[in-house]
Amino acid sequence: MEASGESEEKVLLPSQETAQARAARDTAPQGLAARACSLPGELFDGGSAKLRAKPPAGRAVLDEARFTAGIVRFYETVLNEPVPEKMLRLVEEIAKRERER
Amino acid sequence: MSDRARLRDELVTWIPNLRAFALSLTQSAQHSDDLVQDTLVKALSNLDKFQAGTNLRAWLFTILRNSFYNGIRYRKYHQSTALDEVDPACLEQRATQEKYIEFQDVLRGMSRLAPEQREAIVLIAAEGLSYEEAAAVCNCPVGTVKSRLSRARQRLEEYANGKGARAEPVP
Repeated sequence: MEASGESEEKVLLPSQETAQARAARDTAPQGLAARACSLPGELFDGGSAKLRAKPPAGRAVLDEARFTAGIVRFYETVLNEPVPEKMLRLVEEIAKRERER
Repeated sequence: MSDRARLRDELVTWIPNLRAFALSLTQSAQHSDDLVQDTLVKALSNLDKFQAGTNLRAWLFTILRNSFYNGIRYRKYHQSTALDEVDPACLEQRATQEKYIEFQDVLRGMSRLAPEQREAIVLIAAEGLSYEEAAAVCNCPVGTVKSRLSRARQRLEEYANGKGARAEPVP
């Protein structure tokens, strides 16, 4: 019976697994950006061997929509920056040289 | 106003897009502006070769892209350091610290992609080009653009799962 008890301890009931998985999913950050924060290895922990040895907790699914939205927001941020003066001067200088020719 | 002057004015309106596209390719604020300036010089010197009635933006993007890949051959424009190894202060030229934090995961993900994959994502998702237009800019078949997007997605999945954490090699 003792062996049976050990076995029971190791095997979670489907209902318990679902609850745990749901709890993990509810508390886990979403998307690539958030997932990146929990990546093992040298990316975010300065190369700690201890952390690098840990396998990922589970396969993350890339949140494409969130990633793409991030790219678009970043792109828009750059688009909204003023054009550097040196570029406008460059265009003007080339036009001026053309007129003088 | 002459046609040439009109084209020049239109060209200036596309500079922000050129800067954004250059930044996504080079991953470096300084190199991207160098690349845009090279592009402006080449475009203005060859304005007579632009075919009236065609897409000026696509023409400019093609010049910029060609300059970038020629520059890669000479290792001129490529940021060989992965973004996560770059001092965030360097990126403050580009955005505030708050913006950097907001975008750093996106930038890290992008830095894991080959330039061809980055440009496919940017041209289609951010610039809003059709597959056909993006293929014309990239001088490749439409199917190649689609397969680059597919490989980019795969690469990002691997990154999200902690695999293939190193940046793609430069072609």
